[in-house]
Amino acid sequence: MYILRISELLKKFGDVVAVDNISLDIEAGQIFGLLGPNGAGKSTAINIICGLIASNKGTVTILDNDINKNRHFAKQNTGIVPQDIAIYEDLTAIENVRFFAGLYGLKGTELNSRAREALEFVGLLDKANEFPKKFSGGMKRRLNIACAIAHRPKLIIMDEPTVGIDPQSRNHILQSVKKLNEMGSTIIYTSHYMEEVEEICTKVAIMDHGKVIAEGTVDELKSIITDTGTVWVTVDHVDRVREEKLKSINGVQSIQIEESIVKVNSVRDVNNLDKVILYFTSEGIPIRNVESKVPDLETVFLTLTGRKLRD
Amino acid sequence: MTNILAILKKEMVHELRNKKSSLMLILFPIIMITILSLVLSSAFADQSSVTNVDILYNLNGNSTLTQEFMNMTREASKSGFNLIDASVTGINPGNITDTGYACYIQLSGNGSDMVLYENTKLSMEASITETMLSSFIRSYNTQTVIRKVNPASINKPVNFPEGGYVQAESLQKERAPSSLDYYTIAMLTLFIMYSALSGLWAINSERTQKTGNRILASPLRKYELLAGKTIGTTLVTIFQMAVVFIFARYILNAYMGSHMESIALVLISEIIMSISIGISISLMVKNINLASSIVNFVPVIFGFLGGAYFPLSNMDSRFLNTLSNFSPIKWSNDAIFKVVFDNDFSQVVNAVIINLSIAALIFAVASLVFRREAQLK
Repeated sequence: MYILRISELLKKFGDVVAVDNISLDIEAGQIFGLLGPNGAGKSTAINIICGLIASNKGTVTILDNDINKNRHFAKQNTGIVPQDIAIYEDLTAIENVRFFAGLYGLKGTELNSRAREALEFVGLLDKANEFPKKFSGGMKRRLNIACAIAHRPKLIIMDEPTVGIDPQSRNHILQSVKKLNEMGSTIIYTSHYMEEVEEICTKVAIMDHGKVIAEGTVDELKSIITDTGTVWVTVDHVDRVREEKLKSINGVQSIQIEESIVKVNSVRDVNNLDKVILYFTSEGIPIRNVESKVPDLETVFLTLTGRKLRD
Repeated sequence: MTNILAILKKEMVHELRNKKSSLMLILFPIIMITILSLVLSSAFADQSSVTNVDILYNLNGNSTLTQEFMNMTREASKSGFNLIDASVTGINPGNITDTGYACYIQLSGNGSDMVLYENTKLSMEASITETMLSSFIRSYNTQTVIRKVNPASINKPVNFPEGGYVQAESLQKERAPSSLDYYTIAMLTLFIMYSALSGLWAINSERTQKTGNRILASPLRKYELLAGKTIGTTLVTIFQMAVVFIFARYILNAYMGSHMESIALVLISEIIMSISIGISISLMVKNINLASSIVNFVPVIFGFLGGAYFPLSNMDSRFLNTLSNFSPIKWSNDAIFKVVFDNDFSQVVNAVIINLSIAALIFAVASLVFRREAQLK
């Protein structure tokens, strides 16, 4: 069963095409990763799904209901965790959750118990009567999630829920996402953190310039570049490395330089390691380490778009 | 309905927890009422005494009128009106404004022409002199007619009443507004206009806290959001203004008459109008700073025109007095003053209808704008 179906969705802002005829089918029970750099069209697509902006073309159905024809049903079954923390600083944690859950029709004792349940889920029950202005960034992010789940939506859309938080809170949130999924919710998870997507998502779509450029499980996406081998060469004087020269070596597809590491992606069957090493030695660039790497989503994205995800 | 109540409740909690807003809309008007009523109490005294009014006169020729005029000057001097022969001073009527004399009276010999030049800088003294002269002319004309019909009945000069020629008093002396009464009403209607800021922030706070889109992504309908915001903010403002009113009425002892329901009706309609203006501006003007400036600026202008700082009728400007009719503060003030001091309810319905009509009109326009906008960011 598909919980969300997007068909030929188009959204333009003036002459700029933010979402360019994308189509996606998301099955119930998935944690669906929507991956792409800033400006790829992820947030615009999410805003259309949430009914916040209208598309120029295409349809979106949630549980077989067209959101333009049965908007109330679509909204009732959706929970949104916005990228920006959207809570009231002058309402206590439980008042925040109660308010947002109340907008989905919960009331009375059910509202109270669901609000407490949601706070317990994100580990903030002991802070229920405290004001968020005293909370850390991670705690606010967790409250941001609690406000979206108290009404137990079938589809939860999380738009970059881990931006700017400490590793402990990030880990807590990732575990929460998995747990929510186990409890029956389908999750759409947008991020530009590859490692998060690789860790939790059952299926991933990569967006760039408003288009879905690849879609599948993490393994399927990696298989796109199974013919690619990556070698990480750690060097001194990385400033002396000339990418053009490296790219001119037979089989080299792309080069990435991060701090003192030069990542060389080559066609797998071409055995050019000796030529790569020879380049560095001939240029007088001392090599400190050489590693052969298996491809990750970052490499997939780089291969598909020619640029890094966080560019 | 549940959603409206949820928004309404949240709005009230926000407003009541916002100490800055409460301070502004409760404490500030109370302070202003107290200070202005104390400082400007003399301007609202219902009795004024004028002593030693210096008046110039110039008589040409000798007639019954000039003789009677001279008799009158002697009587008037007993009441502090010093009539001085202009020929002694050498002052021309055209220069009267530059002198300390209230008026220049020019009388022709045949009694057919009496011209009064007033010193606009001493308008009150000049006005009293004008009244005194009018009284004199009417008495003189009456006696002239009687002399023609029955000369024997009059054998003495014109007599004027003892105790002065002019006595200015309010028709209902005990019902004339004191400075405290005036500023209680004036500050209430002024600060109600400032409650448009509460309406403005009811919407803008959803933008700044990024919660607007989260609300709109829920099943809540837009009209429910606007209704909840408007009713919630209105109820809080009614509470705040009630505190100010009760303080002024029962602690400062301002006189508010005995028809509280009519006063409340006018004030509540003004509150609804102000909140609607604030909410509408926030929906129509996306730039928060610009919207805030507009909402801050409007009460200042309406307040001035509506006589919030001093009664505009004191200014001798027909233009300003005409312009003041466009101020909601003016028509609200007028309606309340008439209820309190004249037991006249004729303007209450007008004020309420105009206030609510403006609210409905501006709200309708803003709702149309909001309907087309899917987001609140």
